[in-house]
Amino acid sequence: MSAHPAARSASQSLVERKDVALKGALDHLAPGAFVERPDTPDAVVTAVRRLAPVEARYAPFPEGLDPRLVAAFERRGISQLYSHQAEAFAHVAGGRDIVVTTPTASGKTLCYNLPVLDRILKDPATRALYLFPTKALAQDQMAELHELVGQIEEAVEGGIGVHTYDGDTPQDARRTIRSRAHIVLSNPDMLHSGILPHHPRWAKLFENLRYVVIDELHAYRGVFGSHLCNVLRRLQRVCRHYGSDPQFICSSATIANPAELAGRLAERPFSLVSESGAPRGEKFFVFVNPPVVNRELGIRRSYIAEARRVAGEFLRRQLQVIVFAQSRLATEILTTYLKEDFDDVPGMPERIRGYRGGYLPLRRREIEKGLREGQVRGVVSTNALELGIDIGALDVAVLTGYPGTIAATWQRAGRAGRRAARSAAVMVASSAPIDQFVVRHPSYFFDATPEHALVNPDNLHILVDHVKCAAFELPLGTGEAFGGVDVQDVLAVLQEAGLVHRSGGGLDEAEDAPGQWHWTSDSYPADAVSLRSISSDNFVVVDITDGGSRVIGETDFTSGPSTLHPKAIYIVEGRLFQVERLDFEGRKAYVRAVDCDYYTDAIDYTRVTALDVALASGDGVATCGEVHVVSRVVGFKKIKFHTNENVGSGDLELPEQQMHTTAYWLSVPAAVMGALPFAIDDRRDGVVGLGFAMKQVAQLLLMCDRHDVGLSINAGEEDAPADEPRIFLYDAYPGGIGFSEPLYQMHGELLARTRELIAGCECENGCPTCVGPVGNTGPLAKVAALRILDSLQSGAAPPAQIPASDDVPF
Amino acid sequence: MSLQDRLRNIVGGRGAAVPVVRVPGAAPAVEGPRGARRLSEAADTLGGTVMDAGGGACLIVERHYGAGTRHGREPVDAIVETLLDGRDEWAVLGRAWPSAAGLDGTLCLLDLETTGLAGGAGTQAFLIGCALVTPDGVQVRQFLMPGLEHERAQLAALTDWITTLTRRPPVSSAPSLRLRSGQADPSDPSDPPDPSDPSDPSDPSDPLSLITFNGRTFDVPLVETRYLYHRITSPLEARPHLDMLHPARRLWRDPIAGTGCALTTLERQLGGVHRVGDVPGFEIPSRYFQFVRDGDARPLEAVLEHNRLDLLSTALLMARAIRLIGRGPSATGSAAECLGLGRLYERAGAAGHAEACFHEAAQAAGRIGRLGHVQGEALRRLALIRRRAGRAEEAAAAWTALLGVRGVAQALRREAREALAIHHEHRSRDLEEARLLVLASLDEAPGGRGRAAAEHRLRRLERKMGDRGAGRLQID
Repeated sequence: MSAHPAARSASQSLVERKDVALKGALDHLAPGAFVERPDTPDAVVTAVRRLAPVEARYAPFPEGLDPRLVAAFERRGISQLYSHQAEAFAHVAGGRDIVVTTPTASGKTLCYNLPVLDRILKDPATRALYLFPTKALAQDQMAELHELVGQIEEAVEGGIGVHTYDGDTPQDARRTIRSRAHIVLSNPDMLHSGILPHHPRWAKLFENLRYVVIDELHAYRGVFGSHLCNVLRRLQRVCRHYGSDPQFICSSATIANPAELAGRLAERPFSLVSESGAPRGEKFFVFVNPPVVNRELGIRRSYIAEARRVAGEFLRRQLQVIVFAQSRLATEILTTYLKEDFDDVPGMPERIRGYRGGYLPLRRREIEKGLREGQVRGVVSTNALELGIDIGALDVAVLTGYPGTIAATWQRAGRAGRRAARSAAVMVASSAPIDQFVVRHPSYFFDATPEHALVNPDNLHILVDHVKCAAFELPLGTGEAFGGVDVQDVLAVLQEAGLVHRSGGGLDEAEDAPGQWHWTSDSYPADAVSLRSISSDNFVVVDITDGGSRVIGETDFTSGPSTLHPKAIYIVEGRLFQVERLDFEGRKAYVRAVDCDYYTDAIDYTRVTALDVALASGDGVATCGEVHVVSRVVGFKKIKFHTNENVGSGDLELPEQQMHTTAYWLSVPAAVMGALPFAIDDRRDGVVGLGFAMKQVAQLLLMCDRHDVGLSINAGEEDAPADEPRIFLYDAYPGGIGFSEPLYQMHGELLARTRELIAGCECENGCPTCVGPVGNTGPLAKVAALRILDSLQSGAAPPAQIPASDDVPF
Repeated sequence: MSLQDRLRNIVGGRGAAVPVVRVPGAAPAVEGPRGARRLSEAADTLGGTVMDAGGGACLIVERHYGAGTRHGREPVDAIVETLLDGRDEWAVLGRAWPSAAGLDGTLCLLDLETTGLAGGAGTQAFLIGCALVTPDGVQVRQFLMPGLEHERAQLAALTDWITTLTRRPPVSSAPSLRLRSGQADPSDPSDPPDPSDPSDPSDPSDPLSLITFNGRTFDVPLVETRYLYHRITSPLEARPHLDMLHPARRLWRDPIAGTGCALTTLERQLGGVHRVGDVPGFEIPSRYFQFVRDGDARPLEAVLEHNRLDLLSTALLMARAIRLIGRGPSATGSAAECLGLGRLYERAGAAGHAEACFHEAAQAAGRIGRLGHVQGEALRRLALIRRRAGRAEEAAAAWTALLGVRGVAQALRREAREALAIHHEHRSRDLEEARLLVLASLDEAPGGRGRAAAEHRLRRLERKMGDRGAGRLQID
């Protein structure tokens, strides 16, 4: 879209003022040259990169675009499209499924709104379903669509209906939406539990469904993505029942494999639109590492304090700033600090605001508006503002901590800087290993391709749940396929449990006549399946302080024992509770409010047994396959607040948790262990430290959360004698979520990056940033880990390099 | 571990196997008959016939309840007579509940037995029970799906039947449904008429009206969903529909006495129906699934009987409502029912009848005593109805009477005092009386806005009284 020339010149002086202010702030933060500045890993500012401005590339409105739509755009002062918008339109017109990956603020939404609205104008029976990962995004998009639709004159009889449909939609509005909405904006969870199981009521939508739009596609990875794939399988079955075959239009942040991810999720080929035609102003990206305050223990200055200082440099120069924090707590702390620094005029509108999930929608809308209109000068947010909520163009993004993935980092940085003006993004690293790795190796971030998004839709736990839902929605044919596993096997087992029944095709059925599997249970299977986790089995936390029983929280099944064991301190919004009793069978923890100065940290014991080898390197060092994981919480430590002193401990007797999953493992050959010039205990410490560091790097390479991967070390066990230890990195979900094989493929890269992490760390004997805190491991852990890595890397060549984009075999 | 074993671990860990129902005295079925034989055996067991339709089959079970049969205390022919003679009362019900407006022609009772209560595409009505109210009695016709794959046939059979009933002019040719096997239960005392017979008890040119119990939210939407699923037009669409649950709530729900509105409770209290060996509702889906799996229809007999009793009880309740509507307060069996009848009249816009009921309910409750909540509510409604009619003095009398009743909820007393205070302040101009009422209200210490409003009224009254006192002085 090209802005009106008059508007451009009007803001010219403002742009110039901001450019000067930004230059000033950057000069203050990182004095010296900005262009071609070499990286300085040991300094506070480790890198400054300049991203050159990009000119806009335009394309005319496509031939045949409905004239009413052209007129509506012209009323908004838009006379042409960006090239990627026209490209997307052409693909959709050609009947292809597409995924669009262009940067934040490049007019991505028009890539799907344009073909959808055009089709509705030409054929008012047309229906489209938009899926967003959050309700807030759907609301935001509805507002934008309403504005656009409002400018189309003589659209269609009764107007173009655009409605959100989610858990907040009032019951009395639902019937109208089902029959009248041309565009339904919803989320995968609602599609899964509220729309598909009730498809007969949505017959009009499904009969006429031409387009399925999936926005923020990159959000669907891991468990969530694996579920979404199965929901889309169900969606496509229902569409076939109603005789429709919708086209898919997806948009994604920049990841390594957008077309592949879309293809995995929707199980059909996609065309990629990745060349943005939108202009971008000059941008600076700065990496800041807080200075070391205790070299021996490897302790750095608080990154939150550092982020406050950095944000202040920009705020005091009248630049509009967004600060991203890693947690809700950090968001509130930073908001408080910045308010102290800049909101000093009582009675004036608040210039610094916080923003996170949990705020009421009205408050959020007010903050978003304040940002767009400029009264709000600074906002501190969790990742809630990372996705495409419209907050206008900001000048600076400050990232408090590395967001965890390259894709998310670019996404957050993209919140600053649009079109013509100069902008900046600053990443302030925390002391977490991943942060330290990235901040000290800037080229890993700036020069590497972003991560691959991985899904495993045929995880049996997930698949079985969705087969149940599918059978509830429409009987499955005895010749029908669903997913990559033979669904007939799944159905046969479901029949044993009485959940489905196989019927013959006709009255005079023979044993093997084609037939159907019908749902034969009085339950509603979608209710028992949460798309955001692998099991809906939860522990609830019950407060019995005042003799009552009030539920104050819940915890997923796997982390239940470690956070809710007897005597554990459970914290909600700063209030402390102690667990009095854990009813493991009933999945309830009874807690009572307490006043104490410590928290608890569970000690768990995990044992992994290899069951089946899928792939192994020639030298036997790298393996991936299936494993059995048994974990048990055996005790806990009491840790004093602030000082982190260990002030006590206790033993626990809790049931084991068992899981069948997939893992990648590293076997250290006896020869390598034997050649280490250290005592037995120190060698063991080296292995433990190596495992700790490898887990951090694996998270980085896999684009996953720290809870997604588990670590276990076998030494002195049956399958791994003390002189031939094994380091297991396993998928922390029953059945595995697809991390193990890619990790195996990235074995070489994993070891190389792990070595860089440990060797590059400034601590002397190990610290939480590399091989784990001293105390967990002995003083020689760091050097022993490095020796092991050196021997492994000098030996056999790594099995494979990181695969090229869109080419991951898994 | 093999795929099967892993799947069993996953499925077995969560899904609970369905409990098996054993019919007393019957040997468990090992492997049920298949194909056509399975259908005819089921038809024999249940006393029905197999009908081919829509590429599948449907089991039709018919029963006739005529002269000489009773439902609880009530002879069925008395129920039928009341229903068929009650057209004026149908109209009253139609005025009270718009979905029942235009209730006309043949009354068709409808009740489903389903594979679950959750709703959604996977909840099916395996049994659609219908009953026509005819001069000869209640003619029940149940449409049973002999397997989950036969739903289309079941729906087609229902459509054909309703079309035959409502077609005009009446057809004499054979219906599109073909009888295949089995006969109606020979033990049935009456001879069920052939549904294709043009001299069918109901006049085929009649329109058809639906009577259900909780059918507005459950049964009818569920049937419509099934038709939508198969993308065929529903024969129930746009028919007048009286959901007896709604009048029942008005008439018989007494939250203080704890009288719920479950059909089984009402049929027992109002009709003396005591079911023996009734199937508990939660067991119904599993009995059907068991039949689907092993083909043994015996566990379903009790389900079909349960469905028939539900249909008869719905008729019984409607007959009772019609009798009450037709005869007025004198027909009611209790003060609470009389109050309920008043509420029903009121909803239908029959204010005069309603007033009579409230009056009678208050009187009766007063005579019996210990029914303060009924008496209070009756007086309150009496007062409101009189005030709306512009009869302020009479309304005030009812409010005053209310304040003299023991055991009335505090909120009601407050409402009465406030109404009376308004009356005395603005109409009867008895400011002192108004002031005493407000003071009494404040004595009972209402919180929040109630208190603020009362205090405001008190200040205004005292100011007015001061003015009036001053005025008098001047005149004196």
